[in-house]
Amino acid sequence: MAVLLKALLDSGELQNVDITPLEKSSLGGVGVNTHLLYELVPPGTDALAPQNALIFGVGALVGTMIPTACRTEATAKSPLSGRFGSANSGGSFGPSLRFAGYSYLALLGRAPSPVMLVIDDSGARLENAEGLWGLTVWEATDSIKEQLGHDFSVLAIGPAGENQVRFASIQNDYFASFGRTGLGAVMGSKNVKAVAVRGSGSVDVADRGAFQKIRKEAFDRVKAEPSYGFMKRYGSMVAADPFDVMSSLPGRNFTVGSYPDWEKTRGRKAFESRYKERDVACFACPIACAHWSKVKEEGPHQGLATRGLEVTFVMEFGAKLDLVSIPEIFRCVDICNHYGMDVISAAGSVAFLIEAFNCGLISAEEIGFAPQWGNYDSISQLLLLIAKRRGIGCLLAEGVKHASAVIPGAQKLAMHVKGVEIPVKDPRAKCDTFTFGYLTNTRGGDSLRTRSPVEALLQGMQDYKTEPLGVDPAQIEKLDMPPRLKEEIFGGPPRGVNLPRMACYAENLITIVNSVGMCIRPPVLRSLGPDFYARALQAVTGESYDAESVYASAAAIWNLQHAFNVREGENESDYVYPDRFYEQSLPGREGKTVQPLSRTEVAENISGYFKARGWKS
Amino acid sequence: MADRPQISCDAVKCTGCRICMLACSWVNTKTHNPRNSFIRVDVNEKNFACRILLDTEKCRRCLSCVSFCPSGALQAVEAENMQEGGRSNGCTA
Repeated sequence: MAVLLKALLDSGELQNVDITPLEKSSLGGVGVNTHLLYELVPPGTDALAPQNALIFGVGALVGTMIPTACRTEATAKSPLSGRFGSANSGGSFGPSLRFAGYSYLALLGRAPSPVMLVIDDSGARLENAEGLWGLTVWEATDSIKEQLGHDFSVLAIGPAGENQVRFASIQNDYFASFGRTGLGAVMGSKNVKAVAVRGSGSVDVADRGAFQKIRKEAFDRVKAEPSYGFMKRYGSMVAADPFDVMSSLPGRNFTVGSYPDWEKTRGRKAFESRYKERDVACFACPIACAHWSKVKEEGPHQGLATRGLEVTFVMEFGAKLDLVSIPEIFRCVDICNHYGMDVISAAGSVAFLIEAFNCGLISAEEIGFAPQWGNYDSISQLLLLIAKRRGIGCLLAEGVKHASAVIPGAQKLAMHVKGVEIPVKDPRAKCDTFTFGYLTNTRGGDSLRTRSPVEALLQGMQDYKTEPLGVDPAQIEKLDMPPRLKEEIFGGPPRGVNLPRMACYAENLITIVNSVGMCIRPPVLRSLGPDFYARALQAVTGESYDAESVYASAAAIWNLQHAFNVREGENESDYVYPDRFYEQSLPGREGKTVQPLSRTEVAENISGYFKARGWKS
Repeated sequence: MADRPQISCDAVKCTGCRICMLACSWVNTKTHNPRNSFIRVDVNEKNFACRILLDTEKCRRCLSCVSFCPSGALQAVEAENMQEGGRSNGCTA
């Protein structure tokens, strides 16, 4: 049974609702969240008003032994984009919620004063959290665990969420985040400081024999995927060097595609050899792509320990802001984790300001000091000002779209799509499914809902409509993907990847993954597909699924997210990159110059994408 | 059962995935419930230090936990070698 806990924050009433039929029809996780958001939040609602809903969804596989099935999806109308907002996080919160007997939470209305939602075997209750308000994520989480027990899993916002920074995160047991689209600000607007959960119930499966088989198959396939060993060793940092080789770093607010000293200073081996100590896993994950890391070298950051270096962290603080020192990058991430801010939007906002300052559009007097690329003191100071909404930080806390409308002449420096700061990779140097996703993602400028299962990390585009195959053509036959789609996307025999059609497929595939509650790391994304997920859902829930029905449900979920955005005023003209990508070339590796993108070609790809989705222009 | 291999655990190698707990729970009850596991991994989410507790009274040494452990933290060890190579690095019987 799938139970939704509705917290009516104005009255303090808590209701349990059986939503098993909705979970069946919408796959669960992000699928359920999307349906609830569409129904609960009227068009035009201010994302920071009580009428917004903040929903947490945990898919049907979470809590079972299926590898990586631990993830939680959080969804609300985004205060950053004003559109569909959603973020996903691992750790142990999802399984804990399921062991407590719940799969979904909806925070509705606004509590009259700060509260914390506590869920355990005795039920759910709202507790006074006035004493926690104002604390950092670390302080609040420490305090909650001290009070309730260290086996509680805790989601908490920090000062950025309380101050309604439009890209505030919700932190998940300290280090993991629901990072993108500002859901921490929504939680802050509802006066909810934290959600704490512990459960001792069981997660049962409907067909034990089928489950045992599918469990073995999942472990075998994930571990046999060639990316498994690399992910275990480097985590997402495996991509750090290829991004530089391809001249696709987002250096200095997307004006530098490569740094001569990149691999030596900020590459994956620099991280591994100097800082990585041991592997760390989310619940039920055999990959363990995170790494406990420590700064051993003498200096101001000596002794700093953290949950490793993600490629996002090094791209945002190392490339976008040109911090050369990994300890300084760690420290900036640390600030974001403690204060509760999305790393990508925070770094993007600081990068925007530094470039505006360098262009003479804003003065040192207006900022309070002179910010510089690669200068830790000024960058960390700006992060703190944003989190506290003080001085120039109050403007940057609105995100670059809004800030650029306030600083005359700065709009061309605002690197966002649909109000969401774009991450980690420059599409001029790597026009692929990943960067095309900045345009098509229903949550705005972001790549994580559009990752190809045959991504080619070290090859540029063949032409705008075709991406090189990232695997041997013989592998395509083994790929878990409906055969009709293989021919549509790769051709027969496989020749390349049709980019607009792959974008649709990748989005639908990731929607399935985010619905059932698994992870999109390459060993999973590349080895498992709709057929596997259908059989896994069937074994666990006892309901009838097949690959085509699961895929169709995922497409319907994506369409509903799009419908939510259209209801808020989105149209095809919003599917554009910042002007810089169409108008300026990019200095790349070893003196290479990367040419700007063609507006016409990109627009044609968008038309192809709309056609593949069956949407009207 | 005396002749079956024992379980050696190394909490330093443990990644905190807790798959062993799910595997043990499945063997015991055919459900997923960490409370029904005879092996327990406590993870300090602040520094990911792991502590492994094995209930040697109840454990039937089916080695399901060992077979699923992805990090090598749990190993099957012949009984005569257990004293030297046994529970160490934060593992408690």
